[in-house]
Amino acid sequence: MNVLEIKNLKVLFRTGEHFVRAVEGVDITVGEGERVAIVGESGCGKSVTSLACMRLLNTPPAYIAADALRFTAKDGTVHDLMQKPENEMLALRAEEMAMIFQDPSTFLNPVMTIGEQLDEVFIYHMNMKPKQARARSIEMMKKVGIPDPAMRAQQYPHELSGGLKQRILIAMATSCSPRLLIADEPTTALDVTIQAQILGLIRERCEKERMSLLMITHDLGVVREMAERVYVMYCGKIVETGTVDEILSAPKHPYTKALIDTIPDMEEKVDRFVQIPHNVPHPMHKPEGCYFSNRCAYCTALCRKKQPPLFDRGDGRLVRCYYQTEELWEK
Amino acid sequence: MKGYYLKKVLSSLFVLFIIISLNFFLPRMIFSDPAQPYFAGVPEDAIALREQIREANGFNDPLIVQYFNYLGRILTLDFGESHYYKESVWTVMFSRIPWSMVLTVSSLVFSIIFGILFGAVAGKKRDHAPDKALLALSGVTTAIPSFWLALVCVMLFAFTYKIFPYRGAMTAGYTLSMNGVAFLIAFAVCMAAAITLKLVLKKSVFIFAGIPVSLAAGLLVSVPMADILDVAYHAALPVMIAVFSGVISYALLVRNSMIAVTNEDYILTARAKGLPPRVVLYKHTFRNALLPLITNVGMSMAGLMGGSVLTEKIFSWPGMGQLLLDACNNGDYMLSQAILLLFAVITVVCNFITDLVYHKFDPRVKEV
Repeated sequence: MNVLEIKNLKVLFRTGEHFVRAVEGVDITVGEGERVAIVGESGCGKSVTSLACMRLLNTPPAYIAADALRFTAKDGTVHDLMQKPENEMLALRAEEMAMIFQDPSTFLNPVMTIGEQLDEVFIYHMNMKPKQARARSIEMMKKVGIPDPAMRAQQYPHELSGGLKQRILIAMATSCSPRLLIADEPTTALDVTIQAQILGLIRERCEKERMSLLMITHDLGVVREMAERVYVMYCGKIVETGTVDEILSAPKHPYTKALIDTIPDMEEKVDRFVQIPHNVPHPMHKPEGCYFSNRCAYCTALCRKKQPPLFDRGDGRLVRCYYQTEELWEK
Repeated sequence: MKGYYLKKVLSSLFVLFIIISLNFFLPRMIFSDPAQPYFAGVPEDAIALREQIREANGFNDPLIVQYFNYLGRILTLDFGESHYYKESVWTVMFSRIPWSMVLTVSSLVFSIIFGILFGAVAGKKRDHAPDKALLALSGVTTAIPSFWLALVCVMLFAFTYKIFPYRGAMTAGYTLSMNGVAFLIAFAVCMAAAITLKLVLKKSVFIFAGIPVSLAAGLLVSVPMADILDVAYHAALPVMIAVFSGVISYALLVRNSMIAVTNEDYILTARAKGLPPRVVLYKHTFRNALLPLITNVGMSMAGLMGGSVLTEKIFSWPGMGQLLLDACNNGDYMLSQAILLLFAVITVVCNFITDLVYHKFDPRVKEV
């Protein structure tokens, strides 16, 4: 059974006279207890996809369309997120689907104490009295490994380190044990030693509360660590999906391969790190044909002319490329 | 924490010292004889007598000696006697300060209250009717100087339609019969109530609100109702003019800051928590959006006792602004020096208080 089912999700942004296509028909499913990652460079539409699921995009300027955007709650009822009025979405957020964000230093309210911000979830979702809520908040802080939680609850965000703040955000998101946790690059702003701890904590929380995880990242190391299944996204489209092992050991799309090639080899001494030429095209100026054609090392005339569909290889993998073979890279 | 306050106090004192010194030297740089007012009634050719007056009042001492004498007098809070009014400078100033405060306090209070309300409504949703109205009105108030507006309003509402009086603060005389004992009793009772509430409910807001409420209660009890109404009638037009531009400027500040805060990351967190929009708006957005207002209000507070020179002149309001203008015109050194010093002290003190209040609302400042 799928917790989250996205079919043909499209997100447009209005900028003045023009519409920018941020997400162009994305299909994603997250199974029960499954950990899924979306990978891609900045500006590929990963965050927008996740915000659209939570219905946190402001409309306008955003316009969302989808054939299906379904969410299955803890009690088994299926919610159509596209049709939900805002007041019913409020109950789903935090209780059924929660989110943690990229930069813990800007995602906590600077003028409220840590305790006040954690209490709110219990006060507004579980109708608790402030004292009860505080007790639960402190309990939550203990669960995410914050030393001396009673003292920390009275402090303000600027008095905590980045790692602690991210733990607070995790505590906040998981305090109602939601069905689905969306993590939007949760370790990007943290230093490497803290990263491993935070990833471990997210995994631990997911296993304990039997939460599904939708992890958004650009770091393939994080993917290997956290996910079972991967969606590679480029320019608002899925270009490849498969299990983590398949994708990392045998990429079929040139973009996935290019991403993997950029990981520096620790053994080898290099003058220059490998990089993918050019930048992700601006959403208003995507190339004709395959969106990756202007950066692809194996691009052909066909690629430039016609957008490839998402080929089903029959082995559970989908690839948006005409060639999809390793022989191609050999040439 | 203690070090922070100590640093603030010391720097405030240093600023005051600079101001006091400038206050002494600046008037002496202009080419008018500070002894001139002392010669009133003394004939031009009575040079010996004039010299005697100079000597007696210390104008013949070296400037540096005069400066230290002046510093000494300020330390003992002795501002001397006003030459024009033939009274102690303190007496003259204190007869005017309350009149200025009637205008400034009421315009500030109304401006802040309506400014915050208007700003919150406009900032809630960008490009909606209230927001557009605010932007249009802000164009109007910045384009029209308030003294011009005041003159037009006097012409229209005081002369053509005779709805409001055109000058003065009371129909007859400038003396309010005030019962000092009644004032003190009422003030003390209200403050005691506020402090009790604070101790019981542990909310310092009662102290902040208690001071103005107690003052108002004291005035209501101690001044005859007829007088209060008479003053209110006279103050209505100048206050309305000040409030008109004040509301718009505060509303614009709140609106801009609300829109900026709405785009902050922590607002997204609050929404992702599934908080009702009203909680996101008032508990998260609004509270952060009011921070710049504190600084702004603090700066306007400095003008409270100073009054407004232009408004007071146009309405012949017997306040500090007019007094300063008259003191300058009459060459009343003692008085103008004291008034300028008072303005400076109030500004420095208000800045200091603003810092303290800001502390309370923005915990991040404590680290600085």
